[in-house]
Amino acid sequence: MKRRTCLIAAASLLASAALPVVARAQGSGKLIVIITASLDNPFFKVMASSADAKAKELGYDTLVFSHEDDANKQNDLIDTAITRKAAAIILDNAGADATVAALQKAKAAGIPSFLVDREINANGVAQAQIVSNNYQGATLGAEEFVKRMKEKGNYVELVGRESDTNAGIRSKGYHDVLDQYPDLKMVTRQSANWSQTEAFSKMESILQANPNIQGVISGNDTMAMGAMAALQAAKRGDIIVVGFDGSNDVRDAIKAGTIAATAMQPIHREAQHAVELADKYLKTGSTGEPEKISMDCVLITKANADKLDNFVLQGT
Amino acid sequence: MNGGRHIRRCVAPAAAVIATLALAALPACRILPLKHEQQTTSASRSAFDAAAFVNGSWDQRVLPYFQTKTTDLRTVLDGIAADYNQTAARYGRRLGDVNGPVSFAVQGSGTVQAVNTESRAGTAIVTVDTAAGPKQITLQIGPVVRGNAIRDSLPFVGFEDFTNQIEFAQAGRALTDRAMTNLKPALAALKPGERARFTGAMTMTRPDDPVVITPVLLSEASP
Repeated sequence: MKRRTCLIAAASLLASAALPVVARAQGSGKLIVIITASLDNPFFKVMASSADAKAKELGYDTLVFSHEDDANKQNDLIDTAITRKAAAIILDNAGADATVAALQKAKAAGIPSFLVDREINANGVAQAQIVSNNYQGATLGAEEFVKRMKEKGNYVELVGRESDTNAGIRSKGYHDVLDQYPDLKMVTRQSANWSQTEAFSKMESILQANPNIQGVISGNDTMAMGAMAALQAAKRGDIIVVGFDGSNDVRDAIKAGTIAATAMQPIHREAQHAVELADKYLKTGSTGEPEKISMDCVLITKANADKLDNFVLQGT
Repeated sequence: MNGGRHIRRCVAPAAAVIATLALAALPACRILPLKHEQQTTSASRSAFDAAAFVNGSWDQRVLPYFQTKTTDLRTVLDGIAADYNQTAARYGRRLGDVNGPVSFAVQGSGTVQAVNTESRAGTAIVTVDTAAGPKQITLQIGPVVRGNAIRDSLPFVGFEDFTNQIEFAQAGRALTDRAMTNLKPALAALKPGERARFTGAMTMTRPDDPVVITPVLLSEASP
């Protein structure tokens, strides 16, 4: 895996032809490099395709990469962007602290960065940080969870990958709400690393050890889907499940009544706005907005699920 | 696992020995364990003190703002009914982009219809006058309070002023906690049928959202 990372970087440097997930040259000369986490997750897939579409609409060539949440691989990809003389980098970063040095390097090479979704722990390094307010989204999900649990009962928390800033932020948002309800008791808290299959197997064993649970609050939608499948298989459809992200999979589960709610991140809008700001910055020297922009999440329940498609809520 | 990773990372570029490649790839081969890097960066950051933030701003800036800069709730509600975006731009503070939530600092008075304390997110239902007739609004009375309306209505507390969203959230929560602590006796005294005068903040995402106010000041009003 790591060897392949290096080979890809080496190949891109040698031949100036990287192995991107999506690459189409349109010949305008200006290149925007888009780097996100795993494109297996529909959340990042929409993020990448939304940024890609907006950049092409504005006349840029694009390269789309995934750093797979590996800060080293991200560093290699930023090197690639520098070597390719990118005009701008659109990035969903692989670590709030680990990313700072890599972006400083890009900045020193004259390449502005525009962050989406996750923030970094430094100001003045990226040109813009359009941040999903994960904390606010988590409080929305937790408030709905509390309501559906009728403020009492035993619950399980599934946490995302510990190295991902947002795993901790969402968990904190959940607990800042849930811990205010003394009759809500967390029986176990486990990481399923954002993974659907891992959440499925974890949920199976959690259920065996703790059959007396009434709710599962999950740090993202893929883990919520895995937990829900395990609960359905165990004929425990009575257990309240709440996710986070707002994927179409969870939307359909909400409509079917197997998942109670999720917090939708407006990632389509964030990705497009990042490219708009990059374009404005490249043309005028300023984005005209503060570096850090917080974008609120939206609660999705049965009441509005049918208006949701690919992280866009119709009519808002 | 970690140690091996760094060694192997360097093998492939080293094999492809040309000058430009070596130069460009060198930074990627810096042998510095990530965890160490993260720890040093995190440790060099001073922890955010939400209590100090509130202590340093409540009497000096927050209370004066709510005492002098609020808009009459009726003006805001009538404005929202007529033109949401214009009212948001004139009296509110919008977060995020053009579709972001809008927070208003408001004051008004009305008749308490009901006090709900069965949920820990307690509420008082208050009827206020609008151009379209009486309207029911909600005052959050705690102990659990939703949202960050107080923080988000203040023009001098912005997301960009904080290192990250956790600190931003802690600041918001601390502001709300201060308001609720100050108002505890007044909130406990709210009774159906009585009139109340309130100053506080509300956040809306859409014009048809329910009106939910987090109070900052509260008193009995003459009928």
